[in-house]
Amino acid sequence: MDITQIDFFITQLGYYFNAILIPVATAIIGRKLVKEKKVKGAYNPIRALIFGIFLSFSVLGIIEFFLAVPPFELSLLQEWFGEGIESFDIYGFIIGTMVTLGLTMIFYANRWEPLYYSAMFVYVGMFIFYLLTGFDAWLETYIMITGAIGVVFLYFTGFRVKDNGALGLAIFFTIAFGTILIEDHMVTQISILIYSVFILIFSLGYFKPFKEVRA
Amino acid sequence: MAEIGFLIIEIIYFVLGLMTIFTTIKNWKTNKNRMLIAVSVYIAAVLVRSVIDMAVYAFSFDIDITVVGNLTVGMIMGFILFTIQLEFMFYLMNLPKLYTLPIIVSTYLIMGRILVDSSMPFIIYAMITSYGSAFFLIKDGRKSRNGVAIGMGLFFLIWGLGSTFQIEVLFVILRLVAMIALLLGARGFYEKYVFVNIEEEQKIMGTWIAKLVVKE
Repeated sequence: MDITQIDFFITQLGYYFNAILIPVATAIIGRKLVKEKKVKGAYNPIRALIFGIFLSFSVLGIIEFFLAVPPFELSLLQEWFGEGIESFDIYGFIIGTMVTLGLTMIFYANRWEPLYYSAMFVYVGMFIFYLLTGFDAWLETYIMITGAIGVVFLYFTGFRVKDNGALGLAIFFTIAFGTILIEDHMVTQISILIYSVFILIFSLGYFKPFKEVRA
Repeated sequence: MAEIGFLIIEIIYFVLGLMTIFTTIKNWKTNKNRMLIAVSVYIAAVLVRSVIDMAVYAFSFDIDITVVGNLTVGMIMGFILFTIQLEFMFYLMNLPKLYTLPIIVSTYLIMGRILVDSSMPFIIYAMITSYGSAFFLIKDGRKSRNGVAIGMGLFFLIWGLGSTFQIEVLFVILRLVAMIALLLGARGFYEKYVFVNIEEEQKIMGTWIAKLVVKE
């Protein structure tokens, strides 16, 4: 097996992981969310936001799978999907949604009430602005800044309030953003495998570094 | 000539605004209602705009100076005022989750104004802000028999009408009427003469009928 074959294998595996493991993890979190709603009578906003982030990521993973894996080459979808975070195509929109939900989660976790919907207002406003004027030059900057703030504050929140959810998402976002920023193909593909497995562990509830402290 | 007329109306409007502020602060000292402070802050912001308008009419300034793209100084001031108005509303409605919304909306509208030469988004924003606020305040004011809320609601309603028509004479006159409506609210006019105290009225009526019966 030469390096090209290994690369191909890891890439394909990454697509399968993205399209299967992440939706499974999303379903597990969704089930927990509904279960909790039945017991407490209301949705837990933090869990709902985590579900939203994972759902966005699942959609992204599934579309990427259909675009990249040979039998499903869809040219029109490829056109709509786009390639980066520079414009409001499917890829940019979903990544933008994820960082927005991540930031919203930080506001909720820290109970900064006046900021609860701020990130959503900014993002929805940006999207409406794009629909009306066709201007989306600030999307990339928004994703970069919000993503960076999100990761830093998720770590901060995770350690400050000893929240497994925030810390788990911080680790996930660090790896996921790494795949966007790192140019090396092999490293990106290995990162995809790592975060896919990590998401599954996280959703199953095995990621509990603060277990002892809470008890 | 018209400018002098506008200036006189503007001065009267300014004086009435000051009277409203003094009245609300005076009332606040006795009942410590936070709404009165919010009203004072809002009217103070409105009066800042009034000072600029007075200067415009007195010295024929042009506030329609373009800052960038299609954005003018007058429009920036309008956006600031509507932002404060919406903040004031969310404060009264006790909706802290929406505190950042007015700033974000205004920012996008300002950006939009830079790129596109259309006043329509501004007019729509002004209408939503004014009529929405007016509806809430008049409805709530009637329910709670609060004259200041009714006055503020009428102020937004009449001001909103003026902004919608975009005719200067109408705008200046309606603004003055709006301030009079607010001053009346602050001075307790609506509590005294508009809200009928049913219990009190029935008591008077009862006494009157009783007197008639005794006479007969």
